[in-house]
Order: sequence, then structure tokens, then C-alpha cells
Amino acid sequence: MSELVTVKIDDREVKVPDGVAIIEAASLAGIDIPHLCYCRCLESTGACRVCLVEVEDTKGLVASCSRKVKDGMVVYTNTDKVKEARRFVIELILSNHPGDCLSCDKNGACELQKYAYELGIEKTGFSMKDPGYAIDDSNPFIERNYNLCILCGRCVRICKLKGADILDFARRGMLTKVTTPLDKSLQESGCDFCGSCLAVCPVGALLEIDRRFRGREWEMKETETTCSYCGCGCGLSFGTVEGEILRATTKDPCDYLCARGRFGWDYVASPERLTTPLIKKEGALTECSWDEALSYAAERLLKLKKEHGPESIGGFIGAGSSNEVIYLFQKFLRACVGTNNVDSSARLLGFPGLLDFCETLGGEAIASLEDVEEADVLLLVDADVTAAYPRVGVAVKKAIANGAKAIVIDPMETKVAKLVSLYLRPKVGTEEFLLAGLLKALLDEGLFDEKFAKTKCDNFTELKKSLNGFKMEGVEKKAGLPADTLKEAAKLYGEGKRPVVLFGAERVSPQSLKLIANLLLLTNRLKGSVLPCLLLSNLQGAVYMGALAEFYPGWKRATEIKDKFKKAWGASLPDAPGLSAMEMLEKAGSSILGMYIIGGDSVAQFPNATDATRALSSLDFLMVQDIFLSETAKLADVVLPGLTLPESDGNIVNMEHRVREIKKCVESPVQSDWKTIAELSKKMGCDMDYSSEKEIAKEIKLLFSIPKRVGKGSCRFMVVEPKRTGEKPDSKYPLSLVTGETSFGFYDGIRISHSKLSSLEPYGGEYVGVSPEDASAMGLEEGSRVRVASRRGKIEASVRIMDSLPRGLLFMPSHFGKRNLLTSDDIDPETKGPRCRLIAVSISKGGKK
Amino acid sequence: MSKNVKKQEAGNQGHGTRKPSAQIIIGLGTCGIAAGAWDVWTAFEKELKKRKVKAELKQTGCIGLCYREVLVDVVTPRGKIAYGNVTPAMVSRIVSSHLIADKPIEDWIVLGDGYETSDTDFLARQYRIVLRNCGQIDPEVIEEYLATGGYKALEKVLREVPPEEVISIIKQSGLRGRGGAGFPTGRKWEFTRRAQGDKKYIVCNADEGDPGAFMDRSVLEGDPHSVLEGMLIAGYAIGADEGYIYVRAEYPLAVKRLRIAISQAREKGFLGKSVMDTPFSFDIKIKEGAGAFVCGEETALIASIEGRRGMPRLRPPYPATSGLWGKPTCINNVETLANVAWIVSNGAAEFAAIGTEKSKGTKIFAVTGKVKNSGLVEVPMGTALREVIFGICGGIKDDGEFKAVQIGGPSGGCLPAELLDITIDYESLTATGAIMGSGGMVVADQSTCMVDLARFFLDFTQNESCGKCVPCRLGTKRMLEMLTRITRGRTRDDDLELLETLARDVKVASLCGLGQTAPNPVLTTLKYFGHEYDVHIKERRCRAGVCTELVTYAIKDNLCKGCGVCVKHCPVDAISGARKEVHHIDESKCVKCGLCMEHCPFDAINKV
Repeated sequence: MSELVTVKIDDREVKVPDGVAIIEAASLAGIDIPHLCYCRCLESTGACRVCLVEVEDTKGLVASCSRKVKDGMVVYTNTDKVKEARRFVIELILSNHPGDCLSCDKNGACELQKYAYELGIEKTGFSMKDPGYAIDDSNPFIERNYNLCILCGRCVRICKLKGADILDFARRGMLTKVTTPLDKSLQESGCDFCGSCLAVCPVGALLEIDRRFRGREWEMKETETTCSYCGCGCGLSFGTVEGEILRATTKDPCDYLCARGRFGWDYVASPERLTTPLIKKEGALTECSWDEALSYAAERLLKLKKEHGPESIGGFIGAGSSNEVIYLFQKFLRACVGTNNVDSSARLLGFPGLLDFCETLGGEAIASLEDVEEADVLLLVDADVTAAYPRVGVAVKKAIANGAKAIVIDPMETKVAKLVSLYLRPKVGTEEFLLAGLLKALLDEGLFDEKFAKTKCDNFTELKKSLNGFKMEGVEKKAGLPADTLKEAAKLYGEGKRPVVLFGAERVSPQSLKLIANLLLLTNRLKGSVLPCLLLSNLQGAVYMGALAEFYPGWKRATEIKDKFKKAWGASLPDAPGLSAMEMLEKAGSSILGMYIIGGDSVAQFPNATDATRALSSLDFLMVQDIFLSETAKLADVVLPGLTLPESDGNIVNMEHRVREIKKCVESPVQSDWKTIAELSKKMGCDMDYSSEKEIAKEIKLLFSIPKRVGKGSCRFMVVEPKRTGEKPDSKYPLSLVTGETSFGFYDGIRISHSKLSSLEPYGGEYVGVSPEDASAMGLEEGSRVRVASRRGKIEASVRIMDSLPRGLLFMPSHFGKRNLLTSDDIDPETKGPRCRLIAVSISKGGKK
Repeated sequence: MSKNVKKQEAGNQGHGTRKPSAQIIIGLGTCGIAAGAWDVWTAFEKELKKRKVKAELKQTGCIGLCYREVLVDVVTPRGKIAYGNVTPAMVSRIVSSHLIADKPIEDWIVLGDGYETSDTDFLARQYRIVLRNCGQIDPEVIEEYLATGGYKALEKVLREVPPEEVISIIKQSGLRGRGGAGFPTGRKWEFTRRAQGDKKYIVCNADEGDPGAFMDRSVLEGDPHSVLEGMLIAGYAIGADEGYIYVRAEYPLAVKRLRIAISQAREKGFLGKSVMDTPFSFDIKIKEGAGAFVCGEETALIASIEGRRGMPRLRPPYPATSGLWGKPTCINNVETLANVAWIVSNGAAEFAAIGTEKSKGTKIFAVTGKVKNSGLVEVPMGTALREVIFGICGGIKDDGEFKAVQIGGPSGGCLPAELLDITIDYESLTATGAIMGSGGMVVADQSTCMVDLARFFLDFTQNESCGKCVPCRLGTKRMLEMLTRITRGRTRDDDLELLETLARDVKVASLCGLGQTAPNPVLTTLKYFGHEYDVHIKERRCRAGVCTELVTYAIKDNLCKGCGVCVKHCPVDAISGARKEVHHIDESKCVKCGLCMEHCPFDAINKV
């Protein structure tokens, strides 16, 4: 905390931290100095000259946005001289402005209009002119009307800070204009479509196309809620008019939203949404009433329970639902159906390996985004942060801009890899060797907390022993990285003062997780030192709510906590351990006969889709509750319409283990998911009677709290023998394929495919990324059609040549629905989740355009 | 321009075995080349070969007598004699008469020992420190610079003077920045030396952009080593090990000669690691500017070197604390740096003895416009304006009447005849509303319209505004629009009042020096030539006859012979009249092209 100095602003004495700008000091004193180019989170440029003030003993007028305060400084913000200058500047700006405020969407929210009004400028001394630029609305989201632009440069600066850094000024003098490289369209310029520029534009030059002429600022109802895409859980505010969402933004324009958050909400109003329950009659799904659907479902489930026991029924819920819905779902299965067969997409995306990880390190190890921003060293393992969890990407970029050294371990050269100090590119599937090598280098170089490792941790001797036999040369041979590079990385990480490790929880292998835990233990970094990046909005919440077969709510193993819930729920609870999602599919048609699935289009999400579809088709009874008629829903006997998060109230838990509130922004004709579950339970004779989400939330709160401080971790080193992960390529399937995230797609596929956002994805997301080397070796060109085959199946795709890929590695977006026809359902015996996202494939020319 | 001087010299030497006693030195600055110096060079080459005369053909930079280019020095045992306005046709006679017969051609002599000419005063009344070697040495041969005592000052400081003491020498000398603002150079060095930083830079600002200013170019072309030596001494004093010269790409010859000078200095061990075998290391890089006037502003210049868009940023922080790549950086102008070695060699006291109390040393002016002798004039600070324009430059061309002088380029001001007796130093110029600026001096006679002149300079600055801040981007444009209206007779009632307010507001509210000074030509013309504005606005007349839309052409009855020449030349058939009778111009048709007046054999048409 910097020292306080005393400054006098307009005769008001105020104590402010030394070194703040005058405009900030004034704001602390409750004085709002007019400004246009200044923005709190951006570097000041002093360009607009609206914030000029007089400072005693200083010649001329001073730009208050950039002049720092000094002790004893005397500032006047409203003298005649200041007012004249301010008025002059606003008049000049208006002289180059079309002045069509009558039909401008920013009317009432425009900062230029505000100051013109405050200064009482009725008519400018100059004639008003329209610069005559063509309006760019060649993309689906952002309209750029530079006739309204006042060249404050906020968009340029925020694009550099948070976006793709594609904006700058071009030309000079009167012809100065904000532009993209070579004045190309936003898409061609590599725009991230984060829309940060929209949030900071003080006038109507940048506007959401969706809101044009549909609602002015004062007509919009703002509802602050939480984004429902990735695990960052960014706060956002939906602006609605008459029950329709017109735009998403942040309350504070300096807060970040990615393209999905800002623009990916239009699926909510898609005409293809399910609004009526469906029942399969004579092989076809037919509309029916809620009562009919639920009664029928209850009847079928009760029948199965009676005839084959509760263990013949299973449940699966997508981690895009709220805490309340997930909690109720697992309670329904455990207390009402009487089975522990309840699982969620957490199983497919890093859990429960991540639970063990947290238990080893203790609850405090999880870093917040602030920790990431303030870190001095970052180690990113298999985390394409800018694409998969963009808010994390912004935090990483901010840390790097502040001077942090970053190390990236990833066979794919991600956007962040291009910015970092050290990019370690292991051969495909050899991350474990690299991580083990890092551990070894830390040990060898003495860059670890020996006392802590020896006295506070278990198994240190075993770890050391295991690493003794580990040869750094082996890493070079296996992973293709020289020992010196690893040593350099170890030194960088080992000497960091506030280092944070980040990894993509859905990408790292369970073994890598253990190696990372070892790394953190060895260096005694157990406070805000690691951020497992989570792909879905409520993965963490799903785990807290007990949507993993082995765990009850509150992150407790079923065996140790059952009695508490027996009492709380007033029901007898099953003893038999639950089956994981993968096990349920495996046993579908044999011991599993009925399933209830909410959200998370399982057919699209489960590896080896052919087998998954076969498994689900072989069930006696399948009920699916979703927002669209997904591939999974098409297989169901009963389909129930689901609710989207913007239509729901409730809570989620983000990757930082922070609880975020979800608020209903628009009404839906569909009833709440929790209500559907509650009604079903009633029909099954086990009444779960709630009046609202709040009541469920209250019940949850009584049982456990979030974030649960796991307390001290077990601090146990785990001996791991590094292995090559993924399916080994052979002569028939010589290449490796990894699935991952893209900026404009999203894992579940189903929401984005009903959003305009999908139009920004090349080839509609149905492509296979090929390295330039492989492409030229195989004679493939951008856009060529190919067949990609694995041991499970084959699909057609377009070729996208990607510089980020190394030779031998192919990439497919995780929202490419058919990708799972290729992927492997090989299960990791410990976590019972899919072993790896890396599979062996072949690629051949051909296929329909 | 692309000819290689070295090669030609070698070819020439091939003819004889003994060193020729005669030298022919041709001024090959950009100005000389533009006047045809290469043709003269070729003519000499041919002539010498043809006549089998042994003489060394050499080049030098610009001596500053622009009105006498092409200049040729002939050096024989009798001494050095300079011929001016030399054309290839004169070469044969110079060779035969001067070189062969040893009879200098007196009519053509511009300068020479024992010869009194109309040009003698031009140099004799100057005081040359910065231009000491320009036009005297071959800028592409480091030995010639060394022969004048070059790099001795560097050697002295490296071996004998601690950096702090170098700074105090410069402080004592009273040297102030010659780039415009006149900030004390020693203090700037001191700030940079004291600033915290693991790395520091010295930057030479050679982005000379003022229309009509060319002194920096002449120094770079004529004596590049003096600038390098100045940078080395500055680098040593502030603790920098790297220097940049930011030079306009429009100065290709200066860039070429700088590159040659840098590589020669490296070869000699004056640049690079362990300069002159001392622990001091220093190297210089050249960065060519891309043609933006605003890049002469130091923060924009820094941005441009860094590869960013050349836009000024707010100060503080000043470059001395956070400059190039955030490191402490000292930015000095070419002329400033060219003074440094002289000061070190001759002592601060000798420098401080020249000039006025607050402005020490000399200043170069690029005098152009309607003067008899245009060129580079270096005079002690405190010299009267009249002495420069009338004493040295010989007064107004064609014996016209002086009207005004624009000092300091587009950021400067227009001073009237009443102020001819002010002295030239930072303080007195600022008091008039003009500025020292880089030292451009454009002289105007009665045929110049002051409103049009102000419009011209404003057109320049508004074009060159980077567009960042509102007052400069839009304010200068609006001012220009008003001035244009005035010169076209389309004035609105409140234009003059609005113009003045606007000019003052732009000055007060602009972010950088460009905008803060852009209104100066307008404000000074309003102040000193307000009546011209009045005439334009109230009478819709331009007395200088420059603003075409305010001019009418009339045929004088008593002189017109009715020859019909004007009718033939009028492109719009605005003139009529029977043969041998007085003709008339139809004002409604006349486009004021002036062709009739130009072609009238009897001077019967005039502009009113």
C-alpha cells in the first residue's frame, strides 16, 4: 500500500494514495472530472483533452487522467479556463459528428451527449459534418460505425490488453481512423469477438448488432448473473426488453467477457427449443402433457425398481446445470430411486482425479484469477487458456504484461505459447516424462523445500528413490527436450516468488495430475499456487453436489457420510457403491436397464459414440431432459424440456471454488428443472417438496458449505512412473488426434450450434486440424475433404491447416459432434473416467464437400 | 546521385603516379546535386582527361551559399578559389585558364583570398562553429575530419574528464537545445545520468521536418563525424552505451554519409566495444523515419523507433526518466550535438562568451524566400534580425520591399518590419510570439499575402497532426477552413473572432508541441498584420494579389493597343474588344488565371 498524500481539489482536501492520477484522486473526493478517452483499466493517453484541469503553480492546463498527484497539490476542476477548454473540445468533437442522436442506440448512454448536455452546448460554433465512412456490419455481432467515432482509442487499448490486439489508428490528422490490419473485416483480422471494445466505447461507434433499434439503454432491464459456459464463471449482465435478451455485457466495462459469454446467448430464444414433453409412441416421439410424461416415467421407473432393484437404474447429469438442480437430481436417485448410480460430466472432464489432487494439497492450494494475474512465474500444462477458458487467458496475458515469466508445456503451440519466456514442446503424449524431468531437475538443483518435504510430507524417500533411477537423457529421448531446457524451466519455476501452475483438467492424464501435485509439494507451494482449469461452468459445483457415484454432497465419500444424509433426507440410502457413467454404459442392457439423463448430450460427449449409442438404445427405459432434441434425446422413451441457465435462478461453483449466483433474466414457458425432478419424485411416492430454488439452496447450506476448505492436505508424494499417454499410433493408424477447444465453439456443442457464434467457426467446427508439414506430406490443402479413421470408426471432415500443430498430431474441436465416433472409451481404472483425449487415427483423402 | 565518388577518385589517381598538386573540390550536398553538381563533376572529369591535367577531383558538403550552387573550389599553390553558379559549359575555361594558365577567372569568383566579391560578406559576417567543417572537408573521408582535430575532444573526455565533469562543462557553456524549445543541454544530460536504469540511450533527433529548414541536413551531409563525436561524448556523459540517429528517410544522402561515417568510426575504434581502448563502449544505429512531421516530437520519435505508430504521449514521465523502451533516454538535436566537441575542445568559457546572457553560442538559420542570398547563416545568438536578412543575406530580392519574416517554421511566427531590430535569442523571439524553432527563416516581400502564408503553414500542420488529440486534429482543421474562407472572400461575420479564440484554445488544450505551436503563424499574422485580414474580410481584396478569388484583372485604357494577344490566351473567352480598340475583361467569366497579364506585350493588364 502506497503512502497517502494530501491534495486539495476544488477546495476539498482529500487524502489519496501517492501516485494516483488526479482524476482518480478527484473521484475519491467525490468529484467526477469529465473525460472521454480515460478508462480506469487502461493506460491513460490524454488524447481527448476533456479532463483538463488547472493545477496551482503549473503552466497551462493539465490532463488529469495522466498527471499524478503530489503531496500538497492544489487542483481546480471547474474554473472558467477549464470550462472554456472543455467546451471547446466538445464543440470540436461535435463538429465532426453526424449528430443523429434521435435514432442512435446510445442515446441516453452516450458520454459525448452527456457532456454536451452538461455544458449546455445547444449549437456548435462549427457546422456538423458526417465523415462519411461506410458502416461495417459484415460480421454477426459488432457494428462499427466510425462516423460516430471520437477516436478516444479506448477500443484500441482494450483490444491490446484483453483482445486479439487487432485494432490501431491508421492515417493521420483528420483522416485518422481506428482500423484493423489492412482494413480487413474483423473475422479476417483474427478478432476474438470478446467485444471488450463494445463495453468501453463511450459513443455509438461500436454497437451490438443484435440490439440495433430494439432497445435503448434506459429501456433495457439489466439482470446481473453468471455466464454458463466455461468454468471461469464470469459475471455478466443481460439486457432484456420485453422478455428478450438484447445483449450481454458486464456491469463494469473493464470486466472481461469472451465471445461465448458476450454473444453466445441467442440459443436461449432459438425456435428449436423443446417446450413440450415427448413420449415415444409406436417408435416416434410424440408431444404430450407434462403430467402424462411424468406419470409415464414414474410408472416405468417404479416398475424397473420393483422388478430389477434400484441398482438397475442410473442417472447422469451435465455439469451445465445449477447446484440446486444437480443436488436434487442426485438426491432423487439416492433417496427416491435408492441407487448410488449417479454421475455427471465431471467424470469425463478430469474428476475425480482432481478431487484426490485437492485432497493431497489441501484446499488453500487452489489459486484465484487474481493470484494468476499477480503471479511472477506461470507454468501452464496442456492448457489452451485463451480458447478454452478465455478469462484465464486474459489473466495470464495480464501477468505476462506485468513482467511474469511463463512456461508452457503443450504439444500444441497455443496463442499463449507464443507470448511466453519458455515454450516446452514435448512430443505427443509425453508430458509425463517432462513433468517427471522437472521434478528431477528441481531435486538435482536443490530448488525445493527439503525440510518441508522431509518432515511434513509422506513418501519423500520413495519419491527420491523413484527419481534417482530417472535419467534426464530419457526425457530428451522420449519427450524430445534437452536436459538443459528442463533445468532452465526448473530454475524459473523454482525461483519464482509467487508462481502459479495452471493445467487443463480435461486434458492432463491422471498420472500427470499426480506429478503436478508432487511438484507443488516438493516446492511447498500450497497456497494459491495452482489453478486446475475447468471446462464447464459447474463442474466444480457438480462435484460439491454429489454428482459423482462415489461421492455424496459436500465432497464426501459415500461410505463415510451416508448416515448423515440418511438422517437429513429421512430416507434409507443404498449401500452398494455407485457405478460411474462409463460403467453404466458398459452395463447398459444387462444390469442397467433404465436411465435418467439431464443435459449434456451424452451421445455427443461420451467417447466411442457408436458403443454409447448402442448402450443407450439397449435400455428398457431412457428419459432425457434437455433444452434441445439432442442426439441422446432422440433415443429416449420420454423427453422433457429443460431450462437454460439464463432462465433459471440458482448457484454454480467456478474453477476458483467461488460460488456464483445465477439469476433468471427471461421467463420461459418451460418449468424449472428442479420442479420437474420434484414432481417426478412425488409421482414415485417419495415427495421432495420444495417451493423454490432458494429452499433447495437452504437445504444444501445446512448440510455443507462451499468452498469447503479441505484443510490441510494429506501431503503425500505419489510415486509415478511416467508413461506415454494416449493410444499408441501404429502402421494402420499412424497419427495422433487430440480434441480441444476453440474460441467460438463449446464442448457441449448443442448451445453454440443454435447460436450465431457457430458461423464464426471455420467449416462450422467440422474440421480436422493438420500441421503444415503433414498437410504437405499428404498433399492436403486447406478445405480438402478427408476421412479420419480410428479403431472405433471413421468420419469425414474438412482440413484446416494449423500452424500450432506439430507433425504427427491432428486436432478436432471438442464440439464437432461426430468426433466421438473416433474416440476411445478406454477407462482409467483408478478414476473410472476416459483415460486420455489422445487417440491413434489415420487420415485419407476423399469425402463429400 | 548514385555515382560512387571513391571509385572516381581511384580512377583519376590511376593517370599519374605522383600526387597532383591541384584539387578541384565540388560541393556535393543535396543542394549542390540539385543544382547540377554531378554534371559539373562529369564535365571536369572529361576535361581533365582530355587536357591531361593532373588534378584531384574531390567532394565536399554544402558550405551554405545555396544561391551560388554549383560551387567549385579550385585549390592550387596560389590558394583556394571558389567559383559559383558553375555549369558544365564553364568547366573547360576553368581548367584551361585557372589550372593550366594559372589565371583565375575573376568574373566567376565567389570567394578567394585577396578577392573582394559581393559574396565575401555572406561568410565573413558569420560565426561558424557548427558549420566549421561544412564545405571544407570531404564528409566521406574520416581522415579529413581527423585532420581538423576531429575526435580529439572525445579522446580528451575519455582519458581525462569524468562524466560528471563533462556535464558540468556543457552546463557552464550554456548550450541550449537547438531543436526548438531551447532546454539547457547540460541539465538534460544530468537528468538522464541521474535517472535509474540499467540501460540508457542517447538519441540524435535528425527528423528535420520544418518546411524551409535544412541546417541539420547540411551538417549530416557535410560533417557527419561531428555529430557522431557529439553523441559519443553525450553517451559517455550520461552513461549510455547505445545511440540512435532518427533521420528522415527523405534525406538519403545524409543517411548514406552517416552510414559511411559510422562504419569508418567503427574501423578506427571510435565506436563499438572499448572506444579508444578505454572501458567505454558505445555504438550507434540509424533509424529512418517514415515521413511524419510529428515524429520530430521526442515522444513520437521514441514510439517510432520502437516500431509503434509515431504519436506523442503525455509527459511526464520525460524521456530522461522513461524513454526508449522505458529506459532513460537523452534526445538531442543534430545542431546541438555538433556543438559538443567544439565546446569540449575550446572550453565552456569560450562558448559562453558568444551570444547573450541567456542564449549562448551560435545559431544556424536557413534563410529562404525573397532574399538575395539564400542559404545557411550561422551567427552568434543576439545578432539582430536585420543583420541576418540585410547584412548577410543582402536584403530583398529584386530590390523589393521587406514585408515579413516567418521564423521557426510552421510552429513559428511572422514578424513585421517594425521588429527587424530585435535580437535573435530564445527569449526575445518568444516575446514576439514567434519561436526560435529549428531556425527556419522564410522572408516575404510585398508580393506575399500574410493570410495566405498563415493558411499555407496551417495546411501543413493540420496535415501533419497525428490525429491523437482533439484540439490539434479538429481544431487546426477548423482554423484552416476559416482561413480558406477568408482567402476566398466567403467570410462569415464572426470568423475572425472565432479564429482567434480557436487559435488560443488549440494552443492551450493540445497535447504536444505540434498542436501547441500550430496556431502561432495565425496568431502572429493576426497580431502584426491584422489589417490584411481586415482588407480580406471587409473589402474582399487581397492587396498582394495572391488570393485569386479576391483579385480582379483590369485592362488599362491608356496602355491597351487592342492587339488581341490577351484574347488569344484567355482560356474562358472572358476578354472582348474590336481590333485596335481597348479590350475589356468580363469579370463574371474571368477565372483569374493571369495568362492575359503574363502575355500582354504592353503591360496594359494589372491585378487589383
